[in-house]
Amino acid sequence: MIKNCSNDHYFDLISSSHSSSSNFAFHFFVSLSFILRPTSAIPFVIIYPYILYKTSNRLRVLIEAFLCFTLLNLFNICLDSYMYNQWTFVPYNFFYMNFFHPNSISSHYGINNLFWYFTNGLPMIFFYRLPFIYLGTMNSKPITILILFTIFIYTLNIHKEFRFLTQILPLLFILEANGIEWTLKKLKWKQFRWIIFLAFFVHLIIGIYFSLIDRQGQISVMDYLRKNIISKNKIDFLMPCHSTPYYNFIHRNDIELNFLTCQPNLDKNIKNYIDEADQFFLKPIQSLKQRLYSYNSTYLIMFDTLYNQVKDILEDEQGFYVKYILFNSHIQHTSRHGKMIYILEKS
Amino acid sequence: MLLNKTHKILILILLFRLISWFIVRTYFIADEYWQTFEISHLLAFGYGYKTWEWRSDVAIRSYLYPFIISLIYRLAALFHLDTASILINSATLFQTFLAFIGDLAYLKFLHGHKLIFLILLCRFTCWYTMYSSPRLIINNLEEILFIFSLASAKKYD
Repeated sequence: MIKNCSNDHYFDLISSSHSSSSNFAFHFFVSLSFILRPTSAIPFVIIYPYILYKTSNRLRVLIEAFLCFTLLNLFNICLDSYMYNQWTFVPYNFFYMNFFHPNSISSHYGINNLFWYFTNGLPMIFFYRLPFIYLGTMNSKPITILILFTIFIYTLNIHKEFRFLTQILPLLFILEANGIEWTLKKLKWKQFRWIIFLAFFVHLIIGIYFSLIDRQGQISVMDYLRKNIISKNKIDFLMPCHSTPYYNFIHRNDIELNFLTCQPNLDKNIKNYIDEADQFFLKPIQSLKQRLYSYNSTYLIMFDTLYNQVKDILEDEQGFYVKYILFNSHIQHTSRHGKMIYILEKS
Repeated sequence: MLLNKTHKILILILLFRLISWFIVRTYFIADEYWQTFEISHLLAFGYGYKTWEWRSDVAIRSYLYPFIISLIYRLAALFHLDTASILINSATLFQTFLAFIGDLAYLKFLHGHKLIFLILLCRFTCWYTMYSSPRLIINNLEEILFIFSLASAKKYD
């Protein structure tokens, strides 16, 4: 019974190339994906050899893949070289920066433990539905191998984010469906079907909450600035770096924007590097005074967490007052983020 | 109106994508704004912030995706429709359209699968599908192209 809901044959469809019909489309999509983000090649490290193993015309597949890959990359080298104003092959730089740079650039954005994708990454996407995926691995081995391999390679990078799993979501949903089907068969379908549908429904509520409510202030602050700030003003975002969108969301070049940067240490000779944002939050009051002196900002944007630390200096010494307060989120995402966003104006 | 089952599913999926495009108004990840929106805006209008990833001595991002978005921006500017909200929403609508094309390919890939309805239900009730798909995150394109490649690999037999 369980064997019937296996979709092993499904995966075989990908690779059972017994006819010699060409498939440029396949190579095209793989190459395009590689150009956009080189790490997307990871699952194909397994898929390509599998196709070659199954196909009756290996040489033809290889030549087609090579042609497609080379032509698309040449096109992209031309585009990027034109844009960067010098000969540029982005995938090479990408791998160098992420895996071979002496300062370990990606660790600048956070270091996560070895099993992060299983203990944090996957649970963040699936929540209580994750057990179905683990159950689903039982009867779809090829898909499971592909997923495990991809996650394994991602694990080699010390910086991990759950959005890196986006690419393999289409396969994970197949596992989830397999797991649900298996569970319903085990537990007798009619009795428990409503629980599954409830599980689906609650997920949608979570989706709406995060789409509409959580961290809304970090976007709506830009709407406020666009509509309410007159030209020639200088706005300083005293938040963790990149906490809001930037010029695109204001679409005006008559106001100056500044923010606390967090560039990683690209210089091999500098030791004990601390980026601008980290430096600021180490001693907020001192840094604030220095920054106000050098930037001469007329507006400050900050989270409630920072505001509570510096409000006395701002209001008594520096002549700033609270112009507007925006709701951001119910959840405090990090100690430097906050539930409210303060917009302060110099009087 | 006579609609067969596939048509009904397609209309539901399209509706889902449009609702998702309409309701996503929150911040998710810096890369969406700083690696795509901002660079596209810089290309189209000449001002915007380039993070270190885009320095020519670093160059670890391809211009391909922001370049495509910047074409939309240029088109909007041509008709004097380049207000911030039109720019933002047209870019995310474009991404939503790509997601829908990805859904069509996913249907093609799953065609004939015993559990196709359950798989679609899993996909479209997952909170992350609604939350992430209209965003200009490069990982979304990765997913769409992965589906395209899976769907076209099926043609092999």
